[in-house]
Amino acid sequence: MLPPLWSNHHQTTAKLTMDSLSSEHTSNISHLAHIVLGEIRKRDIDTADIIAKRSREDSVTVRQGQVEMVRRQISRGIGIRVIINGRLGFAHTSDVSEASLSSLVDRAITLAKEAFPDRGHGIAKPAPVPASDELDVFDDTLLTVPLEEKIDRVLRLEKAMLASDPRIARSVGCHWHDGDDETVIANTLGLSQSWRGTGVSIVGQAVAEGNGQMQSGWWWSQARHRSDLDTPEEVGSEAGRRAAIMLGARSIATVRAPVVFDTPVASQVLGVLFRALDGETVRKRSSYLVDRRGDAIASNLVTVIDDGYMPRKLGTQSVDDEGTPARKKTLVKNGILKQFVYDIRGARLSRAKATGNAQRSYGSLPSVGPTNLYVVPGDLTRDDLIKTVKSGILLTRILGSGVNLVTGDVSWGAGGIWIENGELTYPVEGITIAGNLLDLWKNVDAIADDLDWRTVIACPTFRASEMMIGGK
Amino acid sequence: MEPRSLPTGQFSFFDRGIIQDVIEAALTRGGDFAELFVQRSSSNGASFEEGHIREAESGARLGVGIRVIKGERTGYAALDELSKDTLMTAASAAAQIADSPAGDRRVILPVGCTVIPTISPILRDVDSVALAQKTGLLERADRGARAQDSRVIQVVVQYAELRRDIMICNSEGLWVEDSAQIIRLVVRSVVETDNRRETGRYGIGGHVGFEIFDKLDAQDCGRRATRQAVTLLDAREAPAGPQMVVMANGWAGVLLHEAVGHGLEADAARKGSTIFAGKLGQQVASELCTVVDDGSLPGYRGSIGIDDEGSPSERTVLIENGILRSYMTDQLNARLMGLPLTGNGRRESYLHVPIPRMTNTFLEAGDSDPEEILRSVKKGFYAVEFGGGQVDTASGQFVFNVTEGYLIEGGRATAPVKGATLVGNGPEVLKQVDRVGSDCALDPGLGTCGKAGQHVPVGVGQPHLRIREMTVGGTAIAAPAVV
Repeated sequence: MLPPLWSNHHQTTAKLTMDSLSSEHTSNISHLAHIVLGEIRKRDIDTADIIAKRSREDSVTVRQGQVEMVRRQISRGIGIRVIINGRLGFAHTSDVSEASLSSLVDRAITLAKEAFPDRGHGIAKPAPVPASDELDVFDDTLLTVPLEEKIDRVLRLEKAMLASDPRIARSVGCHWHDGDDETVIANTLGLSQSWRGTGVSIVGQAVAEGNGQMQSGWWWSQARHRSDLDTPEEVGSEAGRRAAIMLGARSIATVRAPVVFDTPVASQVLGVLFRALDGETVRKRSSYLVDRRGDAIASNLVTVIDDGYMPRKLGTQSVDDEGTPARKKTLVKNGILKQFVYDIRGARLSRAKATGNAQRSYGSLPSVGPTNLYVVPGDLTRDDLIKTVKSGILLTRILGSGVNLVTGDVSWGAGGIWIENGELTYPVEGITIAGNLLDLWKNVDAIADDLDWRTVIACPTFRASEMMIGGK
Repeated sequence: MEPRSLPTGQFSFFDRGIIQDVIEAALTRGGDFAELFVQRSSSNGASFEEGHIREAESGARLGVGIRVIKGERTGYAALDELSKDTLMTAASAAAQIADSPAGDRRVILPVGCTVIPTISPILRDVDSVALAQKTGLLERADRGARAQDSRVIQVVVQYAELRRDIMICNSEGLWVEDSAQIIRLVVRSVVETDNRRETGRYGIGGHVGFEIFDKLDAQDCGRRATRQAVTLLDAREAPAGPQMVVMANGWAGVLLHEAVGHGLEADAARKGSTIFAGKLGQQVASELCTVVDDGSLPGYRGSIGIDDEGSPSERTVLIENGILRSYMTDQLNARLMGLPLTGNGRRESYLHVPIPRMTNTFLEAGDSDPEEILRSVKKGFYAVEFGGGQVDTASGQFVFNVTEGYLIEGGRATAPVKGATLVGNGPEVLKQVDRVGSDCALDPGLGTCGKAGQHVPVGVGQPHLRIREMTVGGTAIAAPAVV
C-alpha cells in the first residue's frame, strides 16, 4: 500500500493517493520509444534518434509552522531527431497517443527537408557503460515517503532556522522536494539505453531584521539518496545564520583587494568557466578560451574535472542525453587547458570526440552541460585560508548575469563579509566585483579542502589575489 | 470584439459534464476553491548559423493543472494525460490539501464557455506564412549582420513562434478560454579584430503576427546587432564607483522591473520578504516617478487578455508621483491581504501554480527633453542597452548589466564602455531620479522573467531618466562624479 497524499484524517471511502495518480499515469516510455522507432523505419529513414522522458516531482512548502502547499507534477514526452542527407528535423510532443506519434515522425521529416545539410549532425554508436547499480542513483525509499514525514522534516528545518538567531524575523518558506525520473535513448544504430534516477532536497529561506535592515538568507541540501541529505536542523540553522550575518551590511569604498569565493559563489564561477569550455562555443570563436588549448588559463593550483561516473552524485549518469558515455575527463590540469566539452554535433564540427556532456529535455535539442563538475580541493581549511587574508572580502553572494563569455569580462553585483587581519568583520552589500575570467582564475592563490556536493557543480572555497571591488 | 459563449468553448477540450465532475471531485475534502487549468501550446522555431538553417523544430504540449485552496493552503496536481479517469484521480489528489470530512458541494457552471476576445490583433498569422518566407527572414537577418561590418566572424539568428491556448474553469462559476501568439527574432553577432572579439545582440518580438517585420526588417535587426558589437571593440573599461547615470528609454526599464517590480508583487508583500511590505500610501520614489503595470496594452511581450486565473488584465498604477499605490495580486494573495485583483496571477504552464507576476511594467513619461537630460550631465555614465538583472527583494539590493554604455563628458556621450554593472537599492535609487524624459518606450519584445522556477514573457519600459548617483561596477577607477 502506497502512502496517501494527506492522511491525517480518517476517510470512509477508499483512500485516493498521489501515488495511484503516478502508477496509472506512468506509461512505459521504453515502449513508446520503440513504437516511434518502428514508425521511423517504416518511412525508410536511416538516421534518427529518440529521447523519451518521464518524471514525477513532489513538493511540500511550509511557512510559519503551517503547510502552505503540497504539489505533484507528472510529465512525460518524446522528442525525435531525424537526419536526412545531413539535414536535421526535430519534433517533440507530450501527447503520446498513437496518432500523435505517427504525425510526430512526419513533422520531423518535413522539417528536415527545410533544413540545410550540416556535417555536424549525427547520432551515437552503442558503447559499453557502467551498470546502473554501480552508479547507485536510484533510492527506492523515496517512492514511499509518507507526506507526514516530509512535512515533519520541513517543520523541523523551519524551527531550527527560526531559532538559529534572535534576529530571524520570519520564514519566507521552507521546502521539501523529491522526484524520480526515467530516460530512454534509442537510435537507428541500435543504441538503446535507459536509466532511472531519484533526487531529494530540503531548502530553508529566512528573513532577518535588525539595524533598520531586512536581509534574506537561504540554504539547502540536495542528494540522490535520502540518507545523504544533511539533517533539517543543519540546513535550517545555516539558512538562518546566512540571513542574520548580513544585518548591518554597508557598502565600502572602491578598492582592489583579494576576494575569497564562498563555496556556492565559487560553484557559480566554476559554472561560468564550464560554459567557456563548450567546444562549439569555442569553434564559433564566442568563448574567451579560443586558441587557448594547451595554455595556462588558471593558476597551477587549479584542476577541473567533469565525471559522470561518480556513484550517488547529482550529475551522475552512465550516458548523456544522446547516448555518449559520460566518463571522467580532466578539463584543466594544474592550470593548463586540456580539453573542451562536446555533444555530437560540436564534436563532429571540431573533429573532436563527444565527451558525454549532451543535455536536453525531450522538448529541446542538446546543448553542453556539466555532469559532476568540480575543482580538485586543496589542503588548507577554509578558516586557515581566511586567516591569511590581510584585507579583503569573503564573497557570499553574486547577483546578475554580468558575464561576457566572448571577452571573459565579468561584473557582478555582490555581497559578503569584509576580512581584516584574517578575521571576518562586518557585512558588505551594494558593491560590484569586476575583472576578467582569465585573470580571476590565474590569480587563484589558495584553494581550501571544503569540496561539498550540494549541486552538480562543486567548488571548494578559493581565493583570487586581487579583483576590482566597486563601491561608494 | 465581444466575448462569445460557446457550449464547449472554441477548443472543445472537455465536455461541460466532465469539467463539473472534476471540479466537484476536487472539493470533496472541503476545499474553499477548486480550479481546472488546461493548456495546449505549440511552438515552431529555427536557427540560422554559418550561412544556413542549422535546424528547424516543432513541438506540442497539452496538459492540465488542478488546484484546490483551503484557507492559506494550496494543493496542486499537474499532468499531461487527459483521460477522465486520470483527471478525477488528480482532482482527488489535489483535494486532499483540505482536511474536512467528505463534502458534497455542487458546482454550477455557466451554460457555455466564454471565449475572451484577443487584445493583440494578429494581422498576418504565422501559420499563413510559407516556411520559405520564414527561412528567408533568417537569411536576411544574417546578411544584414554581415554586411554591416567586414570584421563579423559569426552570426547566429534564432526565430521562434509560440501559440498558447488556455481554458480555465473554477468552482465560482468561471469558465473561460483565451489564446495568444508570440513571435521572436534574435540576432547575435561576433566581431573580431587583431586579438579582440566582441559580441552584440538585437531582436524584436511580442504578441504580434508576421507583420512585425514590416515595421523593422530582419536585416535591420542584424545590422543593429553588429553595430553594437563594433561599438564595443573600441570600448574602454567601465569606471567603478558612484556616478551620475543617465538611462536610455526602452529596455532600461529592466531597472524598474528589478528595483521595484518584484518587491511590489503581493506574495512578497504578504510574506514580509520585500522592503516595500506595509508601505502603501508612503513615499517610496521621487515624486517624478509614476510606475505602471499594464498587461492590457495590445501587442507587447507582456500583454495578456486575462491572467492565468481568468482575471482580466488591467492598467495598475503601482507608484503614483512617488507614492506607493498598489501591489500586483493574484487571487490567493488578494483575498488574504484584502486587496483588489489586478490581473497579475500568471503561470509558466499547467505544471505551475499561478503567482503574482508582472506583465508590461514601465515608468511613465515626464516632461524633460531627453537630449536636455544628457546635456545636463558634466560627467557621468550613459546606459543604453542591457542584459539581465536580478534583485533580492528583502534587502532591496538589485543589479543589472549594461551591454552598451558610454561615458558622459561635458553633456555628451563620448567613449563607449564595456562590461558595466549597475547596483543599487530599489527605493533608494528611485528617490535619486531627478529628471524624467518625455520619450517613454517599451522594450523591443524579448524579455523573460524568472521567479520561483517559472519563466513568463514580460515587457519593460521607461523614458530617459537621470539618476543623481548610482554605483557602477567596472574595472577602472572612476574620477569623482561632478554634477
